[in-house]
Amino acid sequence: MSVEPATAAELETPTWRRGLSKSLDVVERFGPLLFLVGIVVVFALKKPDTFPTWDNTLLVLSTAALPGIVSFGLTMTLILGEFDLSIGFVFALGGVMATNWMAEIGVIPSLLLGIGTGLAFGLINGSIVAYVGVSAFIGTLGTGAIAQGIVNWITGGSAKAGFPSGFVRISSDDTFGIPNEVLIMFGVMALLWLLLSRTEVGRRIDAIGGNREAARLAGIRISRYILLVFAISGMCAAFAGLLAASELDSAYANAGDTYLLDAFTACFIGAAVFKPGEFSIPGTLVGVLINATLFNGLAQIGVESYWQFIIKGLILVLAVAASGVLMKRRTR
Amino acid sequence: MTPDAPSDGGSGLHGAPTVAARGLSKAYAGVKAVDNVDVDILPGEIHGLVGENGAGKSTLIKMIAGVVQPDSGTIEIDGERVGLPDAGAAEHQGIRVLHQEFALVPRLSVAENVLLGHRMPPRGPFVSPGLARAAAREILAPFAPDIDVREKLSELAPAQRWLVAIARACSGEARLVVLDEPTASLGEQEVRVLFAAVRRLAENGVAVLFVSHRLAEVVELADRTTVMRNGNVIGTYEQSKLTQQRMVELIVGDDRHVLEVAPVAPPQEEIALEVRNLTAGPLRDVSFTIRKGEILGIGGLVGAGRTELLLSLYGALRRDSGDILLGGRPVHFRAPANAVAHGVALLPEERRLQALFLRRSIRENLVISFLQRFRLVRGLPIPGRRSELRATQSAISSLSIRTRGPSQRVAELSGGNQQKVVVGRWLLSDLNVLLCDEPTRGVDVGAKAEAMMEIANLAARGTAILFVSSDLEEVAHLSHRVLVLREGRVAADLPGPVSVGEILAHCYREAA
Repeated sequence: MSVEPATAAELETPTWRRGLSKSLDVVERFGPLLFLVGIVVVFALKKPDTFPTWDNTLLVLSTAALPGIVSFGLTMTLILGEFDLSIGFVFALGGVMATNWMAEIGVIPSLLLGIGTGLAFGLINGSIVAYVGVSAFIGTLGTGAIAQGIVNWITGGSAKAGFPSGFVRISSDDTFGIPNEVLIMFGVMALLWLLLSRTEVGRRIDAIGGNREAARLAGIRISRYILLVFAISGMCAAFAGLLAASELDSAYANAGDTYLLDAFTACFIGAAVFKPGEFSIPGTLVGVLINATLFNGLAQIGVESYWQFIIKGLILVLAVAASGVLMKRRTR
Repeated sequence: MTPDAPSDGGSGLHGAPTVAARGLSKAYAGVKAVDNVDVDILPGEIHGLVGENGAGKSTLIKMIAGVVQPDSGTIEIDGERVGLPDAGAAEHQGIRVLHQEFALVPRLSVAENVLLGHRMPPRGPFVSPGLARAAAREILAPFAPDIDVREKLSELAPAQRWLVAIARACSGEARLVVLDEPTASLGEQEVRVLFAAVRRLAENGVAVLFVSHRLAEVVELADRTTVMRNGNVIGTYEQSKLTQQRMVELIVGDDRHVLEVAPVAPPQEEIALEVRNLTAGPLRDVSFTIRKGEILGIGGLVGAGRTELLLSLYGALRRDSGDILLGGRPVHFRAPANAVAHGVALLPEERRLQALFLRRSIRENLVISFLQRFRLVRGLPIPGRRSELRATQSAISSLSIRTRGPSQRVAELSGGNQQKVVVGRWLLSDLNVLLCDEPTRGVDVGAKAEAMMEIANLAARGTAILFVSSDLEEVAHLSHRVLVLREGRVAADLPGPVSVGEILAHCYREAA
């Protein structure tokens, strides 16, 4: 007579406990998503006239747009098992490089220059990690400092403003009633998500992140993909910086200061959702939306801005702790 | 009982054994690594422990060191039954295990190393370097009085590091000191120095367990020697009555149990791979050829360079000099990707760490090296899920992988089935050369036979196979020819059929 393992386990576990473990499973898979829904409901109840409106939804999405682009780029490096601390500074440099010579060389070359700067920094970061073998922590911290130095050098510490209207309109105009930057964010997101989930490149990036040595011995050229993800991360940061300059009609040295923390928070919140313990583009979107919703909602109910920093930091630590715990449970 | 009349356990002149293992057993994934083993180690005795790779020596040591918990059996120390739930408990009982990579810190001074984990002698609220050096000198004095305690450990010769490690181990109340392959990296002169220290240790009443592949050293140093084979203790012998020749016979055993494998087809004439004067990592001047359809077994002890040979042929280990010719053409693999592109594949030693993506499905693991073969549309780098699934299904049935289906995570499969996934990966392409590193390790008996079948089949289809296994019986049985490595050099190139004894003789022969 044979007893099925499942049956045996069920006999040993009381019903309420199985119920609890099932609901814990749901929390585990969708925790951050439930949290997002929760804060939306709370803010909507607190500010029924101003929070749950179409205009405010667009506002929240606009707030999420630039951090989103930066975060999606960062997600690429995290999936491969690296990370990029230079994004905040490359963000600022992207804005400055794109705008500083705009009057002389025109809008399109300026845009290319801005994004090209991000690409260059990404390739440098990637080469340092892939070929020199420096850890991404020190490597990207160093290149970030270099980027910041260049920004200060070019701007001389003062903000630059008064750009051609064609440039300013990139971010601030609407298309079909939706702000351009929101559309651009979803565009970047769709591109990277397709790259990861529907191409050979994405499969290899995922494999390298899962087990780098096994990927190498399976015949994957690791360095190539390290270079690629850092290039994407750098371009995303510079592109977002350029959009910020367009939106604000101003480029300045400290433009990227909050983006590093925001992007890491979003990615780690994202790693606690859908496939717990794994970074993903849709997960990062949830993280970005939580950030933006909190920012908007807390401001509406009149919480001081320093509280927002404290709350952001807390959420980052919690998300990192949660995804670490989940990662351990999943790999057992 | 063997005709050599093993000495009977604890009735020696020393009284109760320092450490007595009784009926120790340990199995990994259903495979018995150590099976119902009894060993007595007496106070003041130098006790040799010998056996092939995989005979169960390491597992036995780990159980005595509290690192591995036995499935059954007991350990007695000075006649008292003790539990050793962890390494700390064993340490507390006076058991010291010294490995080749011991727990010393190369960047620190000798004095700091000796006192590591001890209370540093204080002067007021501060540590006093002077007092610390004096304390370190005192501990070192019986073993190595002439080592300068201010020197960095990394500056010392390997033998001196062993002396420091031994001195440190004996600074507390050491009852049993286990030396695991202490002479592997030592020269003749240094071996003398080490032996003198070991003898002094024994004279002070400390029991020493000396584990070595160098049988001549065991003959010279040990008072008694325990021989292990296939997880069993064959016997414990008075060393004075045990010659090196007899020891080899005991290690190999004479009951050849035959594995059921289809007869291996003879190799073809055409040469698949030629290696000329390869020097890489520990390898020195290695030359050999292998023909299409030939199975070349690689014999050798731990550290002989077997794994490194496979890795350097695969482009995963940098080659210092020498030529590799594939099908007559010289090749320079700078990365495994080059090797894969030329139809050279590797089954690595640690498949979970080096070959598999445990959180991913069988399908994803199987196709990762040849994604371009399963495209949705020709020419576009977009994976075609359906053709991947079809290939996975056919691999599952042709290799009889036991699984719920192609989407099951690889982490959930047994060791043997995980290995089949890795094999299946390479079967997706046309292989010229397959490099197998311990393909049957951690695999149960049935799956072992299947794995060997698969290797034989591949050879019959013309793939050249390099086959490394610590199970020399397997090597002898499956190989057309055996290449024996010793200390990075080719010690012998033996045409088949080869016996285990022959391989071992070449593995063990001391460098002239």
